[in-house]
Amino acid sequence: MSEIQDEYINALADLDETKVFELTEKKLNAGEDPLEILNDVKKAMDIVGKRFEDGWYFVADLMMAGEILNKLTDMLKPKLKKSNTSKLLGKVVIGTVKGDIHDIGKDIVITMFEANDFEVIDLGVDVHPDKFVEAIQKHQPKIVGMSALLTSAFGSMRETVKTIEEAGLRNQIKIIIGGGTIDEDTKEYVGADAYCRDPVAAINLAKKWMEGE
Amino acid sequence: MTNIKKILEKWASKERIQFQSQEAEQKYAERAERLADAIQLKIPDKIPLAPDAGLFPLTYSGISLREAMYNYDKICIALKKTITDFKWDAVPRVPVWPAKAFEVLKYKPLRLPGLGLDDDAPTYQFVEPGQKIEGKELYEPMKLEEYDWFLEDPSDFNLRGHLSQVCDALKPFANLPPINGITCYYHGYLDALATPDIDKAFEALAEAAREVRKWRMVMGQCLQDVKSMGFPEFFSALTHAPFDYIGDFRRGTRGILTDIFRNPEKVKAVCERVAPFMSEWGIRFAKLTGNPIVVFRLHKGIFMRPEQFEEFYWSTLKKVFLTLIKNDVIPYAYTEGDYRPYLEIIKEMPRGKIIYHIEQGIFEAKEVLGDKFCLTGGIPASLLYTASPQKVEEYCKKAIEVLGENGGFILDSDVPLDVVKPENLKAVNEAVLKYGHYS
Repeated sequence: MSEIQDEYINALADLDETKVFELTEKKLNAGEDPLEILNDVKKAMDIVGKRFEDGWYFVADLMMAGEILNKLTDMLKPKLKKSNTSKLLGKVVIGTVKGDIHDIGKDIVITMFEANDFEVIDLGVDVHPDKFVEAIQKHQPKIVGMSALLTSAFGSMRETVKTIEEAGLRNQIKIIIGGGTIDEDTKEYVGADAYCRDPVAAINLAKKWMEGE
Repeated sequence: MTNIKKILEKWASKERIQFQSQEAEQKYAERAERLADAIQLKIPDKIPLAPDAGLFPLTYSGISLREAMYNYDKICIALKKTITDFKWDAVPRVPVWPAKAFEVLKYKPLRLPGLGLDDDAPTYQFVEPGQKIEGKELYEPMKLEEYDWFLEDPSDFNLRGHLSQVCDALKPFANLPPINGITCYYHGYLDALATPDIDKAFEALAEAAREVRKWRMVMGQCLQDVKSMGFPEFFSALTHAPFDYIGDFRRGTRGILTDIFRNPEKVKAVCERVAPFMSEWGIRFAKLTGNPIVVFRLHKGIFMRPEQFEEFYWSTLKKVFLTLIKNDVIPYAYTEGDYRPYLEIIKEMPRGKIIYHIEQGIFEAKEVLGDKFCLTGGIPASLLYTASPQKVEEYCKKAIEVLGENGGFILDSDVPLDVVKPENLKAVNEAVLKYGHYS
């Protein structure tokens, strides 16, 4: 059992799509619990994240892992019993701020968050500050993620943070920003709690924050 | 090196420029020599300063993008004001294109103020194929099976497949018969063109072309004007990495990056097919504009592992570079994103024959590439956006000292500037004045 498990985890961590789906079919046909399979998927995604942190994997790898993961989730989720789903770590509201529509980074971050048991509310791109406020009021997330690649959208990030503050919601959330040339200075300028250079860093930070709860 | 020297002498030539004054003529010569020295890895009199100003000239001059994209004289007013006030060593490109042409074509990859964006939007936006805006996909990516169509006949794919996909006004082109079937007297083909839809599509194309010509005339005159004020033009034409040509507006980022796993041979075959077109485009426009420095904005290589970069991105890009170099063109490659993992790979080019713009990690890049190629960059736009003039000056001092060591360096912003504080750009000038002299 453990051998095939390793084979499965390794196939996914190596992004061998064909093999992953062959083995998944095999497992399901053998009557294996879909939740068990999803647990293995999670383990494999951890390896993918680790390889990214180590500088072995790049964005294309995360994107490919995300593709496989989404296909697997679509396949396995309907087979899960309702009570059998894993516990959520927390909620994240995320979007590319107004004035920018770059979403490659944002979408990868979302996939990684979801793979790590966060519920993600994706507001899409070119998101008006008021939309962030509405989403925070409605979904009560612990974390808000803002993305922008364009330098010209830094002002928009700052404006969004300000709008959240004015709505009296700033203290109940942590704000992470990310994308392109964002750095410590940008974080200060925008008034965010943290900036992250890559998706894995964002997940690690979010997990740390949730543990601190 | 002699070859490069000859190319740059021609590039710096003052022929056909009617200078406003003797001083302007002298300044032109000084600036051109400064840039040419840096490109040839020599030590100039002082650090050349040539920021990629993006849309900054507009914001600085209080002109909106919406205004400028219809009234081309405004672009020129903004450019002249900016260059007069900041006196950079080269005329920056102001990326404002003729909106009416895109409007007429109903071109979907570009959103402009009033055309998909708020009227007062400070910048334009590129939309990827397949990307959703407000939940709606603006245009479909090239399909996987269309790789074969492209490989078989790229022109046919571009005319009937690509154009009809990215321009709503050219949708009827999808119904054109393939031109390869054309026989004598052409009446069969011409008959197929005589539908009201196709007629309208050609009319839109002609109207867009006339508008682009109008814009080009204004911009051409403007360039002559700023040259006559004493400012050389650094580069002019643009071509692409074959991988980006397919990835940017055809397959899309997600499409092409997953293709390298799922259909690697197809991606490689298509890039090989594209490479000669990209070379030809660069050489043709270098000749047409009379400016031998041709820009590449490198987009999608940074998403790959170094071995994938080499296999899928670099293998054909380097062919384009080398073909250009062989044809007396100087490639100027903007390495967009973090190129630190690929520095050893791009180092492969012949010494002094290519210029690399470094967006991130320029201090490391200087160590690896600095004695082989002229590098540009060094000033983070985020710093110009958020920091104080004093901090900017301190940073520039360090950049000048470290990056400028032994020449072969042009001070530039890391990314196009668009909206930054003018006082911070003044601080850059101050720093160059104080610390930028070599002797």
